Amino acid sequence: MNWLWNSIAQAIPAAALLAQSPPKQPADYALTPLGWTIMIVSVGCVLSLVIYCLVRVLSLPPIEDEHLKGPLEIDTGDTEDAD
Amino acid sequence: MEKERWGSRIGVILAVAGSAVGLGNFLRFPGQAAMNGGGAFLLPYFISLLVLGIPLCWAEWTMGRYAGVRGFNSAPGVFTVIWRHPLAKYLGGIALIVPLVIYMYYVLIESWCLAYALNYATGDLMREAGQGEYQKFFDEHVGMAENGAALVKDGGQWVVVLAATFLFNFVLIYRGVAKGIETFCRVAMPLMLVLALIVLVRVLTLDPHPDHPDQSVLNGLGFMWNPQPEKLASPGTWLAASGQIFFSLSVGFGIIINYASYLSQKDDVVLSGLTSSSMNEFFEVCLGGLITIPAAFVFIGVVQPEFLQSSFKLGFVALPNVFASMWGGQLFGFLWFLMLFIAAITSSVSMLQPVIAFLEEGFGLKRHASAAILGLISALGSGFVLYFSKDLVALDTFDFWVSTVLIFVLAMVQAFLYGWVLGIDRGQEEAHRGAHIRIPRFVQYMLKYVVPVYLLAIFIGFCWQDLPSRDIEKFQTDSSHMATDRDQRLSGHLLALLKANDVAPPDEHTVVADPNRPGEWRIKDANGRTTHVLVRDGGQLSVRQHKAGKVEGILASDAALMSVLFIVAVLVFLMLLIHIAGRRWKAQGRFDNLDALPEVQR
Repeated sequence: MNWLWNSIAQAIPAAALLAQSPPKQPADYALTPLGWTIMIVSVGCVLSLVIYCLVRVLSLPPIEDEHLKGPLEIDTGDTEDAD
Repeated sequence: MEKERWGSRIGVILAVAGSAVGLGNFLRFPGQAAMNGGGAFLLPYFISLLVLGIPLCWAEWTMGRYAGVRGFNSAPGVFTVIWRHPLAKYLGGIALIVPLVIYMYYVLIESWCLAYALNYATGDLMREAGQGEYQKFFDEHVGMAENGAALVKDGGQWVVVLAATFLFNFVLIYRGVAKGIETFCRVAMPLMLVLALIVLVRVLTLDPHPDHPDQSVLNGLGFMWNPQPEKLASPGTWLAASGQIFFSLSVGFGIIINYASYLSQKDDVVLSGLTSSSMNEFFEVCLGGLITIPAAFVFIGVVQPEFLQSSFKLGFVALPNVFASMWGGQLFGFLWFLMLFIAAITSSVSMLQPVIAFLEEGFGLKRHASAAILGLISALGSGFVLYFSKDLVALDTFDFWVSTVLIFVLAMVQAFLYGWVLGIDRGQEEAHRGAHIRIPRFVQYMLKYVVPVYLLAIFIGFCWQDLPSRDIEKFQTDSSHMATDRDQRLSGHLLALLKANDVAPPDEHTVVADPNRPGEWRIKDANGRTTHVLVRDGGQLSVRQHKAGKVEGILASDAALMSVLFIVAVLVFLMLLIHIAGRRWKAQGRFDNLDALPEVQR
């Protein structure tokens, strides 16, 4: 039907108003099932990522402990000259 | 001079996240999403996050730490460590001017947030709801009417608030990376989260508007999240999504590279980078996406594009209307603007550190001397923006040329340095030193091949969209309607026809025939700026809205031209300093035997 409205609008300038779709009203924005899905998936994914990252970070030992080496890791540098 | 260090792993993550989380998360993102397809916007948004945002963040973290352990914290030094070429240090200058110039106007916006919070605390901002009242308050406050008006508003009270905000930033920066920035962010970020959650709960439990039951929170969420898949066919949607990710994560600001340089060789950068990025996304999608638009919708109905396009209108005009109408509005208005202030200050303080680091390592200055010099330079810039307040021309000009153009240039330079100079093999090896999670190999290929091309495409798209002026067709009518009165104003009949078609020329206007284009008329406002164009084509009269491009904006406004010249002057000054610092570094042999430094070998 758009072609019809456009033809009329060209012929009668005042009809240009009618050719435009009426502006949306607040009632036209009811949250649709797809809108719900996108909102929940988006918020859920971001929330999961940030929780995963924070749990990983906060469960790590403090930096100073992490950088300490246990006895078996210490390289005394004397093995090459052992013989 | 003792090398500065972050105090803890979570401290640096909060500092980087604090730098990224700002006003854009709560005001820009919701507006962009609602305007560009609602829920459909999230598809290009998340693609940009995965392809562009997170990989570039990792690259910046890696390069920053790589140069940091080799003794450099400022971008000119960092870039030279990666690319041993005389040009590298000057490219690093872009990473100094970007945060410095952004700070100059960002601190002003930050002071508005504080001023609004204080006005809510005293009850001065609880006025009668209605766009006019709050628009007037905002315009008077920022000095929109004429240059210098903001300086004398309320006897200079607003300048005092600005000075206090400015001083607070410098106190934090003076205290150093660990004692100042990190300590503050460890308190500010959780506080910001609590404030945002309080406001979120209040918004989601709002009753529908008493006079308009359709204006409910659920419909507001629908306005924000219902997808309009047809918008995905528009390049503008993809451009907006990429731009939002880019600005939101603070990539290309020169900040992450500086912050990461205070890490040690064995500190993790991969998990830290991902955590700070995901924190930023949490504030943006989970909080910004659920608060701003639904709140505005309940009280003002369908949010008009003029609000969605302008973060200032949405934040400082629409939302005060919301608080004026809701129960407990004074308290929630105070909490909201306090939260925005905290979000802004965690960002602004990060913008000072790159230049402080440069002054210290480039000239061997102590902290108080470098802070004093930086304070003087940034105060000059902020004073410039504060004075040239008419229509916020100086702020907009700084924002576009630095916060859009130079950021893209810097990001492209960084992508080039990582992918093609440092190399993706070495980059991966460096990134994985001390890493607690691994970066998939294909990300390295993306950084080398996809990211630079993607960035270039967005950059060209932005330039194409914003630089040239364009006339947007609004409607057509019969050319016999074209008429003006004796004062060269639109005839009453034509004016009524325009208004009936949602075209609103300014009240004070003149219609001028274009001497170069027969059959064309320009409708100009009181300042002589073209707002609309009328084109007679045969028997039709085409009515077009004139969108001035940035180039026309500079040429048409003395304030805009001076703003560009100011940016150029700052850039030249910084380049001169970098040149001198480069000679000092060379004389000191700072770039000799970098890989033999004890920290690198450890």
